[in-house]
Amino acid sequence: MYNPYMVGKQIYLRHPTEEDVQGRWHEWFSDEEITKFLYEKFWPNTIEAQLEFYKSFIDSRDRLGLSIVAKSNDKHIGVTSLMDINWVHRFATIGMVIGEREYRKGPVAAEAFGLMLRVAFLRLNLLNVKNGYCSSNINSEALNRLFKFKRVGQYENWCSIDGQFENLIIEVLDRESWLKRNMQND
Amino acid sequence: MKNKIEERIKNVMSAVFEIAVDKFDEDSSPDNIESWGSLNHMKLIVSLEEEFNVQFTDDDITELINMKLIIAVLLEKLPVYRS
Repeated sequence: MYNPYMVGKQIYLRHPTEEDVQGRWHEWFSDEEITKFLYEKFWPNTIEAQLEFYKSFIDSRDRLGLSIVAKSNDKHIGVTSLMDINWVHRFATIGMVIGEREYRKGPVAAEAFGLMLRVAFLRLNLLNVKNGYCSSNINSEALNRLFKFKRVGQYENWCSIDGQFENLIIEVLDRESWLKRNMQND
Repeated sequence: MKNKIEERIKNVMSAVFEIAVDKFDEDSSPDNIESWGSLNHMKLIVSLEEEFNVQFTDDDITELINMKLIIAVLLEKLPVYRS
């Protein structure tokens, strides 16, 4: 493992590197399947654009982006972020992409999401984490259900998916609920 | 007791993965069940929580990677079976 920040069973999270940029990271954000439910990335991505993005966020104080890396071979398989971190009110918005298809099986995505929640609540001491998803995004819906996010509202007709406008569902997980569920054996 | 739990787990797995109950054994895992992708893993965990009225921790979620481990974790969580 290189420079691990949060370590799980099959994967770990670490600070992204320029080597990650030179890999397949930029290709994930050209992929139609991956970008379908993202708010941005309508244009084909390039290695130059990825480098620019990387440089913009490594110094950011309101965005923590981490690389998801397989422990077995140190392969960069995805990225996860806490965005729009508000240090006064202590909330942020979570996001995640598993770019490498062969890792979209079993518990890998759930583990990466769980590790980022641990970062949010234990390392950054945030109080609330928000996740919004377009109503037909069954992966995000399942992820939120698994981690017990609570629905707090929706924006109607907010996302254009395959030519149809859908609602954007807003859900929140609070630190106290997360702690209660994860410290149940202590 | 264990057999009864195993039967209920197999029924849940069968419903989530859309595979006949008799296709599952203790070694069933994402490596040998093709439909055990990320999405179905999440559905499996939530379905097991509902079936057994338990809550899994984030650690449990990553631990439950084959049927043998699912049985072991559930036996720990269900007070009736915990000795």
